[in-house]
This record gives sequence, C-alpha cells and structure tokens, in this order.
Amino acid sequence: MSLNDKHLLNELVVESKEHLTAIEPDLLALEKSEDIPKETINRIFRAVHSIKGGFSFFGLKNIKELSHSMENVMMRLRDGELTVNPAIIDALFGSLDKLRVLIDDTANSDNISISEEISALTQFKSGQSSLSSATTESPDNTGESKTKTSLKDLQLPHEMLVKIAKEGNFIYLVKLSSHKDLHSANHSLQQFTETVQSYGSIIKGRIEHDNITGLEDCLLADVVFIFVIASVLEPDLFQPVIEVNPDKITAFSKETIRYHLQVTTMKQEKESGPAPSDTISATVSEKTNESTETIRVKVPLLNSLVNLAGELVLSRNQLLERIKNTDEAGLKNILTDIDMVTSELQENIMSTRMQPLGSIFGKFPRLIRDLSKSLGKQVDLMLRGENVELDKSIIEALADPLTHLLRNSVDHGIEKPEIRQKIGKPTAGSIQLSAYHEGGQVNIEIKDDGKGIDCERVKKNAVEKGIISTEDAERLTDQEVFELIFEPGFSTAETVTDVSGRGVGMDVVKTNIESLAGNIDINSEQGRGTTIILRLPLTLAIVPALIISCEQRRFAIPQISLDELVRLHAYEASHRIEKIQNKDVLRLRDKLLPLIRLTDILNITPTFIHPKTGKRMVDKRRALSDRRQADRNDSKERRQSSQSAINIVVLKVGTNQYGLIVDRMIDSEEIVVKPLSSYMKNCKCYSGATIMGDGHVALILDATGIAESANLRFNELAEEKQRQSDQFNRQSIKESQSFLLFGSRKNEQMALNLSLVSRIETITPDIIETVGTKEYIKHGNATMRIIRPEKYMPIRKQKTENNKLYVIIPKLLKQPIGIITTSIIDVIDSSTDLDTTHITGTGILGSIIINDKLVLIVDIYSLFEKAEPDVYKINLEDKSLTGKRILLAEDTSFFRTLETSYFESMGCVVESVINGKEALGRLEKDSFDMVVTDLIMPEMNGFELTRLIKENPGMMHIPVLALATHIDNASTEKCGKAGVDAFEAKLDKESILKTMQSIFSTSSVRS
Amino acid sequence: MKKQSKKTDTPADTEHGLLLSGAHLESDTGSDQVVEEYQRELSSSAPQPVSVDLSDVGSLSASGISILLGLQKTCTSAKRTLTLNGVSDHLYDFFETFTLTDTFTIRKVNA
Repeated sequence: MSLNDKHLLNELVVESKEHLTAIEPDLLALEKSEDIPKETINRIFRAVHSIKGGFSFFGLKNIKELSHSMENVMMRLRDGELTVNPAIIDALFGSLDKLRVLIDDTANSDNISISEEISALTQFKSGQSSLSSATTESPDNTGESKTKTSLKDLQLPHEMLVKIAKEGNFIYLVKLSSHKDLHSANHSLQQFTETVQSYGSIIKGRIEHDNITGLEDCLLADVVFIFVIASVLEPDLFQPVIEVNPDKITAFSKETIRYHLQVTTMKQEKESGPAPSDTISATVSEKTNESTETIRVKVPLLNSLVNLAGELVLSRNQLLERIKNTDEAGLKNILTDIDMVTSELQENIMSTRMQPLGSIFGKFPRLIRDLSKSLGKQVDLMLRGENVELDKSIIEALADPLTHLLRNSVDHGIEKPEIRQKIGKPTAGSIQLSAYHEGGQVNIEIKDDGKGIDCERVKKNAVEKGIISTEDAERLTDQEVFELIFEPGFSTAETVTDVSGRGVGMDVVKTNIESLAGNIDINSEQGRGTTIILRLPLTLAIVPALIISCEQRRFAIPQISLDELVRLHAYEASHRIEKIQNKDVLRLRDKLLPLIRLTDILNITPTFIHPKTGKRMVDKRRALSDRRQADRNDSKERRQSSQSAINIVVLKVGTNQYGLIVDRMIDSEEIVVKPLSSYMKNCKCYSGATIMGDGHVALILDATGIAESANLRFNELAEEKQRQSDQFNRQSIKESQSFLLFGSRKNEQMALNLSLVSRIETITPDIIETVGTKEYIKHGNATMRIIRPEKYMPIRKQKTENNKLYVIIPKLLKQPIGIITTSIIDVIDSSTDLDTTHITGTGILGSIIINDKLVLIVDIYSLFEKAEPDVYKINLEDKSLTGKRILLAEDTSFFRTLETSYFESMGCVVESVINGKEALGRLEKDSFDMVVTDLIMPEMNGFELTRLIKENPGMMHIPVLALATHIDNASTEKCGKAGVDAFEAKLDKESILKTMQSIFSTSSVRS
Repeated sequence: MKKQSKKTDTPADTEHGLLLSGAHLESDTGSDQVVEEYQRELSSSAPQPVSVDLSDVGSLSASGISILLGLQKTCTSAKRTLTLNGVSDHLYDFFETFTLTDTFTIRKVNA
C-alpha cells in the first residue's frame, strides 16, 4: 500500500467511525418509532453505503460484505417489505458493533469472522429488491453500480465540484435516448429540461450523435442526450420527479463528491505542492445539516499550537511585567495591541480543542438500552446540553467515569418495573444526563428517579469493611455517608455482576475527575433518586488561578478549587480560631472550618517581619490562636498591623471545605499549566507548575492533595458541628452578612454586600475614557460604564492614593456598572441591624456600625437608577404589585429592611414577622396576597412554613416566594418539595420583583 | 456576458445563400415534413452557404436537434457552410451546455 493509500485509508477509518457514531442514535430512534421514519432509514442507509463504498476501494471484503448485508435490510425496511422489530434492531446493532471492530483493525479485518452477523441479517434478506430506485455510484466506482461511469469520467471542473459540495447537492448523470425515452415515452426534451431546472441545474451536457450521417437518417438514428445535473434532491426523490426510468440515472452521493475532492486535492498537492487554502476548505462536513467548511487537523498539531500559545502568553506576561512602568510614547499602545492579540489568539487556539459533549453523550443511549435490557429494567435516558463544549482531553477522560456512573444508576438506582409499579412510580425509570455552564466551569449532572442511597446500609457496609468504626458511623451526616461511596473497595451491590459489585469504580471515578481538576458531589433521597454532579474546568491548559505567596515563594491555586478568601486581623484570631481535637479551626459564619498552614504542609520554617525592626524572624508560635505575651506594650500595635493579619484561602474538596493559611494573596491570573517533572510526580500537594510574568516558576497547589497530606478528616468535626448546629437551632438565629468595605479610610466608608460583588479590578486613572459626561473602561473585550459614587451619593469626594483606583464590578445585574473607589478596606462579617432612619439619600440603603465606625450600606439599585435611568429604572407603570398585601417572614433585621424597601418601592403593603411560626399565626388571622419567606429562621423555618401553608385548604392558594442568600441545588430541590412557588436570591431585586409580577399575572389569568 | 463562437466572426458567409426556416424545430411533430423540405431546398439550390433562421425559436425539440445535426453533416459533405441565425440567449446557453457551439456556426439574435 502506497503512502498515499495509507493516508486515504486513515481518512476513511476516521470518517467511517463518524458514520458509525451517527448510525447508533438513528437505530435507537428507529426502534422507538411507531411508524417507519423514512429519513432516518435513509440516513442509516447512506452512512452504511459510504462505509461499504470506501472500504471496497481498498479491497476489504469483510467490511464490504457486512455493510452490504446491512444495506439490504435497511432497503427492505424503507420499501416496507420489512417492519421494524427487536430482532432486526438487535441484528443491526450486532453488525454495527462488528463493523466497528473491523474498522478498528482494518489490517486484520478479513480474518475476523462475520458469519454470525451475516446470518442474523440474512434471515431478513429474502425477496431482496434493488439497491435504490436510482443507481448510486459508490466512491470507489468498483462495486455495484450498474453503469461504469465514474465521477472522474464526467470531467467536471474542480471549482464546480467544490461549489456543488458546498451547496450540499447530489450529482446525477441522466442518459436519455431520443427514441426510447423521448419519442416512445411521449416526452419532450423541453419538458424534461424545464423540470430539471426547477429542482436543480444542468451543469454539463453532451449529445452522442455519431449515428447520424446526414439529413436522410437524422430522424431514424438514435441520439443520446447526456445530462449532468446538480440537485439537492436525494436519489429516491429525484427519480420520481424527473419521471425517467431509474436505469437511466446514475447518482453520485455527497460522500462520493467529497471523496473525489479529497483525492484530487491530494493529487494536486503531490504534483504541485500544497493546494491554495480555498481549495482545501472545500471539504464539506455533513456532521450537521448545515454546510460548514471544515478541515481535519491532526491532534498533535493542535497540541503544539496550544503549547505555543501558552508560551506566547508567558512571553507576553514577561514583556508586560518588564516594561510596565515605561513612559515611552507609543510603546504602551503597542503593548496593549500585543496583549489583546495574544489573548484573542490564545482563546481561538484553545477553542479549536473544544468539543461538544454530544460526542460522548451520543454513545450512552445504546449503553442504557443494552444494559436495561440485560437487567430486565425499563429506563428512559434524557440528554441535555450536548452542545456544551469542553477541552478534548477532558472529554476523552470523561468517557469512562460517565459510563461508570450511568451503569451504576441503571444497576443500583432504577428499580425493576414490577417494584416501581408497586410503589406507584412509572414502570420506566428515568435518567437525566445534562450538562450546563455555571460560574466559568461546566457541570455534568446524572439524575435518576430510582431508589436513592440507603444511608444505613452504606454505613453498615462501611463498618463491615473496616472503612469506618461503629462510633464514626453514628456521627456521620447523610452527606458524609455519601462520601463513603468513594472509598476504595466500597460496594453495596449484593452480587458481583459484569455491571457492578466489584468494589472498584467510584473511587476511580473520583480520582479521574479530580485528576481533571474537577470535583464530584452526590445528593440522594431514599426512594426518590440520586443526583451526581461533576464540576469540571473548561480546559486544563490555561486556567484562572489565584497567586499566593508563602515564605517568599509563589504558588498558584486554580480558581475551581477556591470558595472564598478570608483575612483575619491578628486581634481577631484569639476569638475566631479555636482548637478542636488539637487542630485549628476557624469559626466562619457559624461553621467550623479546619485550618492548615501551608508552611506546615510544605515543611517550610515560618517567619514574620518584625514591625519595629523590619527584620525577618522565625515565627515560633505553635498554633494560630497562640497569642503569647498578650500583655506586652507593643502587642496591640502588632495585632493591628497588616503584616500580622492571617490570610486564609478557603478551598473545597468535594462537599467539604478547609482553610489554607498563606502569607499573601497576590493577584488572580490566567496561568499556563505545565506538567510536573517526573521527579515531582509523587508530590501530591502539587498538580503542575506555571511560569510567572517575571520568569520564575510557581508550583500549582492541589487542594485535595494538601488535605490528604495534612491527614484532614472532615468527619472528625462532625460531633462538634452537630453540637454547634443544635445550639444554632435553639437560639434566635442571627444571620451574619459579609460586606466589602471601601471608600476613604478617613472620610465616609461604604460597604456593599459581598454577594453582590463579581470582582474587583485595579486600574490607573489614565485608562479611563470619557464620552460626554460619562466615564468608561475596557473590561474584557467590552466597554464598561464606571461611576464615582460621590457624583450621585451625598458623600465627599474620595482622594486618589498612589495613582491607583479600584473598580468594584457588581453581579446579579443585566448591565453591570463599575463603582470606582480609591481604596478597598476589608471584608468583614456583621450581623448588626441596619439603621435606615438616620442617614438616607440616593444610593444609601442605610448605615451600620462596624469596628466603632459608621459605614454606609450602598444600595446599588438606586445608585445605578440615578446614573443610568434608561437601563435601571424599574417600570413603575406596571401596577401589578400596587396594593398587594405581602407577609414577609425574615429573622434578619438587615434583610427585613432591605426586602421591605423592595416591595414598598412597588406600592406593596408589607407586614413583617421574624419566623415561620409568627407568619402562620398572622395568616390564620388575616388575608395576604403573597408570603415571602426566608428559609432559615428560628422556631419554624421557611420550608416548614411553606409545607403547612400548602397543606392548609384555607391558605394553599397563597403564593409563596422563598428568598435565600445563596441559591444552590439542594435548597432548590427542598423548596420544590415543600411547595414553594418561586425561589430567588435575596439581593437580586430585579428578579424578585419580576418573579412577583409573573406570579400575580399567572394567578390573575387562572382566576 | 456569454462567449460568442469564433465562427460568428465571418457574417458575410450568410449574407447571400440559402435561408431555411427553423419555425418547426421546436416540436417533435411534423419533423418528417421539415426534413423533406430541407432536402428539397438543398437539392434545388446552388452550392451556396446555408443558414437556418432560429429567431422565432425559443427551444429545440429532440427531433429539431437531430435535424440540425443531420443538416450540418449533409452540408459538410456537400462542402457548404451552415450558420444558425438569430439564436436567442436561452438557446445559445443550451448549445453551450451541450458543447454544440463547436459543431455549429452560431449568430446570436443581437449580433
């Protein structure tokens, strides 16, 4: 086989595998369809036909024979000679699998037996009809066509073929004899040409008139009119339209045209060097119904481009770092251009590696079909988000874990039909496999409506296997029990089958997902089903990361592992950091967060800079809460010093969190991930390395590896957590808020609820551009309006320090406006009541006292409404909320004030209570149009309140809107079960009001 | 713009000679009579150039094409030139598609 032939064969193998992948969902659709979907059959037929034609060219007889037998069955189905039944579908699936085996090993394919598949197909073969009404030319022109004319013989110009391929046309060669086909059939040439032109175009013609010698015999001699026609009509439609005997038509499929183009292009390249780009781009992809231009590029080439783009990004970063302070005229503009072009180039190159998840989702319907059949179960698989894209390497690595999780769902989750029927479930179980974007990452969710996880059984099993002790088992929460499933050797399957029960798998799934820098969560409810969520980065090559330092070394932490950053003043350490089982824990918003010092893990001697001498000294404190010499004269000063502050990076490992103590949080950057050298492969604290702007290498920290190195046992905190939780429930709950403090340290300080902050950018005043009276900056690839609060709020002008400004970019808004401030002061937690009476004005929600200082809480909605009324002014003409009586159940004073202001601004009459019990009491005595409730409240929470409202015939008509600080899947599900009508984030004023309007408009339509 | 056949550069060939009507070449019916008429005209005329007037012809039937091909071959044997006159754009496209522009000398309707 020549090199060229090898290349062609490789191309054919790749293309044929695509055909096989495309056939599978069509066969499944055929199996489920009640009538015979002709188009589906034709698609399968064409795909099999292309495979047959291609491999016939290389003389691979087994592939040719098997695909030919499949074609015959498909043809009989299409012609109505056979009806779809399970035996036919099984035979076709069996043959499809064997074709895959043959195509995977073409060199050996003729030695692999296909007799079983052929005999399975042959039983449906008798009474075989002709292959197609129109003879279809196979790409190789070797086999079954009734005419020897090949596409090459037509001598069509290359450009014309490119155009035909681009337009998705077939080519037909029609030969009409003047006697037999025209005169005898009473057909006129004009009629024929007019018909053809309404369904396509005659691209070439020829008249064979050698029989004519002169006028004497011109009417006696037979003249043959040869037409070459391009038409979008498929062969089985074309023939009846032009009303010509099928024997007179040779059809050239789209695949044949593509194949011919590839061959001619390669020949041209061989003869005269690479073809011009427009010729290469002629290859037409038929993956979708749209005609899109594609070329096949070898993956190593793409990998090389990705690496080069990474190197370019590093060099760009180094260049920017090196000359960031230059004043040379014009150089800054050039740098900005290089910066932008590099970013765009890198994004585009990365996008070439992105593939839709559909490429792996597509194989699961067949998997579920076969598996459910073998287990005697009925399962409907629903796929969503097949178009969501991920890096090719992630997609490839996901195939096995997803297969395992789906097999588990069918085997462990979905009950047998008779059991489902007995417990009132539909006999067919359902599994939803969906993918969606969330917060810059991709989530893949596998949700079944099966029996769910039996926590007691899992615990018993784990104890029996020695994974946990009986005492530990009693303390575990449901979530921690679910985590046991990922322990090596764990299995609850009663019998070992091909499908499951060997105790390997879920730990491997977890390891695989974590090796992709992702994580995995399980939620389950016994009797209702299980949901598994995989969270994955979009790509592994370039990731957003937080750069931190520890003892003058820099490290990168991928943002996917980050939950939040906490900065504690030294004086706060003694009351916020405690010891539990001799380990440091931070009390963070009524939760206990285990703490790890990075220096301990990396075995680096901790040091500190003495605030007075400026000398670096060894830090001898044994624990973070160990504040020695508290009575020293300088201790207060030291504890207020920013040098002494404790910086904690809150990292997540599955559903658990821990705090990593670092020296400094430097910046967030897009880092280029480089693999670790083989010497460092065993250092589980690191997942890779990157090169910083100054050329230094920074190691990338692995959140899971660090937790393992620290021997962090999250369940050891369970007992303490339970105790805390009990206390929490007994007390009146004070929900604390996190605020971003900004503004002037000397003048007015402002605060914005941290949940409303998307990010903070540092800028210099020279990048601000002014249009009219408005100011703008470039944000990503777009322009963003920025405002100075003092322009709209009754506060003094902020003074710029160090030629540096900060832009606070809010979230939960349709068109964010950046808020300029001269300094970011801190992030603090406060549960202080909001005072709305003493300080009022545009952009001010109220005031609170933080660290003995008055702080203005910014109301971004009224601030932005003033700055950009066209965008932010809420439509007051909509009177649907005016006069509505709202009962607000909210225990936190801050939110009670905030939410009341939302509703009153729309003309609602609001009555507020502090827990669910009080709300229920008010509902029994008075009538309300809507209940708006917080979820976590003392005495009676929002879920319980909603459940009682919806169970009470006198109240069940009242719509319930639940509000929470954060919206997560678990709360959403609990809200749904309780009967909540809608669920919104507390700070998303716009969505809350829109939802309320929508609820009232729906209920008014109903009434 | 459509390409003109090179042979149309010699219009003088058809200025004097035998002019045949192409009126019935659109239909398959009556073709025998057309052939007989052409044969009669050819035999009764001097060996001068022959032209067929297609100015009223929108399309050609299969028989019409056979007749023109037969006429071309007869003229060639008799060393007489044949020109198709008054060919419409539409008809010219047809001749071009079927590469008959090399077989016939064609003068388009606006030439």
